[in-house]
Amino acid sequence: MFNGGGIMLNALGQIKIFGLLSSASDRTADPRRFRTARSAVVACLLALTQAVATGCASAPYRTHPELSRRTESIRVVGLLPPAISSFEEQARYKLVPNDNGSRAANETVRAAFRDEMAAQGRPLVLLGDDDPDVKDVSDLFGAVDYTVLRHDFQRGLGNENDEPFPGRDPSFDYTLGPIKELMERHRVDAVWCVIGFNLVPNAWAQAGDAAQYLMAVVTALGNSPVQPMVQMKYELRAALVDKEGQVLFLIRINEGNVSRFPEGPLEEPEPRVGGGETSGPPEEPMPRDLRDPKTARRLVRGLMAEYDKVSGR
Amino acid sequence: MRGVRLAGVVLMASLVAPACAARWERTPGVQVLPEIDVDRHVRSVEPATDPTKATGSDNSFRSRRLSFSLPDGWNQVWRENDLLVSRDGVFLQHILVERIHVDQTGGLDGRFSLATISSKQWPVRTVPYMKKRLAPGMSPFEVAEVVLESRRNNPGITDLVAGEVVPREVAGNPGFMVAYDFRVTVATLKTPYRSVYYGFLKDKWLYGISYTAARRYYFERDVGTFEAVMRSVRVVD
Repeated sequence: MFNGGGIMLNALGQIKIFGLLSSASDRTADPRRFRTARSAVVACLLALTQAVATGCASAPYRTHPELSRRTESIRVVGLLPPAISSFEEQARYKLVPNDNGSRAANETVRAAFRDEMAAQGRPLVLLGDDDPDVKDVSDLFGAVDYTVLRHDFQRGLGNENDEPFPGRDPSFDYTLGPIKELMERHRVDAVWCVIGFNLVPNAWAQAGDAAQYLMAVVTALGNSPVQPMVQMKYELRAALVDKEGQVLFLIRINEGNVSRFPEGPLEEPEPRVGGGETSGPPEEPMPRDLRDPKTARRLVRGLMAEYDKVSGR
Repeated sequence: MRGVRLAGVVLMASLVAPACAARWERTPGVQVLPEIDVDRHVRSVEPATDPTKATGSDNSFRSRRLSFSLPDGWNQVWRENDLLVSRDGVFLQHILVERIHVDQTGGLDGRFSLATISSKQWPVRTVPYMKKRLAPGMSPFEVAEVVLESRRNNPGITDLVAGEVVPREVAGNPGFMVAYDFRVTVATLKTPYRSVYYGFLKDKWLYGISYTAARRYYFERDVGTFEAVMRSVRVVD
């Protein structure tokens, strides 16, 4: 029985969940055993409280203080090439970059943006890396995104990897520098910058995850709390940036909060994106795989819904 | 009761651990960096090859103190014995102050394990990747080449393009300035960076003060602030 856990970011900015398992429901007639079980429940509740305080309680987005005013004039939006980093997750949480997987995930997320915006009747311009300015802005966004995650997103929640700057104005104020020329050249009023990661476990990693859970359950039956570690398999972060380069809205959607966003029906069958330039049969994307069009579409729809909500559209 | 105690310990540990980690601080105005004493570390690497080291009478094991003025709104954190100063975040812009003993071959102890995540992830470090050694009496050009060589050997850096080494007086000492562009290979970032490195050798210590920022927008925006910091740098005897 999954009772609770804590959440932390690892070096890649991925989220790890530390869960506690126990057999608290096993209330036997032995009072000593029952007390121990009750203690385990208390331990789990404390851990759960902590998990809620550190993770779930935080909003999945940050907004610029002038979001409403600045978004009033936004009509046409561009999409920078997404920068999803895909990794093959091997045994013992070893991550190996998967360039083909990254390419496929980026294509899928790009297609999801295109289709979702079209379905909502919103004009979208897909920008390509062939414009050096686009590449420059995308590259800088990576550093800005890292900085927001490190210094801003978790602020005040006591996350051990949180690095708040003391005395900094609490308002969300990050910039990529003026990008008016770029936007006018492509006739857009703002751009979406998209970044993220995707861990695709291989068979060994899946077996390892399963073994961890199994071991945890078995150990918990003996009333010893254990801490299996399960990594988040994906995260998508998207930011809307205006002509002045101000980040107006930045959202992060991952396994921890995806349940906020309902799975809606897709308008039409999605073309399946394969594994890139791999030889042999293409890998079958899993539900937690950003190469899966349904997963990507759900995330994009979720982020647009949140954006509409906070911007008052 | 055992479970409650265990829960208490876990909870306390999780609450206390973050408090023990290094934190960014904001103390604008004149800062004086304390001296670094590498006596113990250098001795352990090269025991008594020099008679003065054996007696401990050689003050060259201690760096000079450095003073400089930090701008308002910038934050500082220690990474081992390096001081990192940043306004928005290490990966957007920062000033790095380092002092390296000529016999130093590895990092010093102390604060690294407690350093903030971003300062640990920033891959630029001079000493671990130095193949050429510093030596007293080196010319500023030779010292600059040691620093650049360290950057070239650093696996966390790619696409390094260095400019010309320019002789410069730094804090009243004959030194050098060199600018270089690069990308980092960490944290899946592809951001291009630009650095300006000022350095000088005094006694047996290299004093290096560098400014690094994302090449787009941030470098130009804050380089003036760095130049003001450089004008305020003094060696404290």
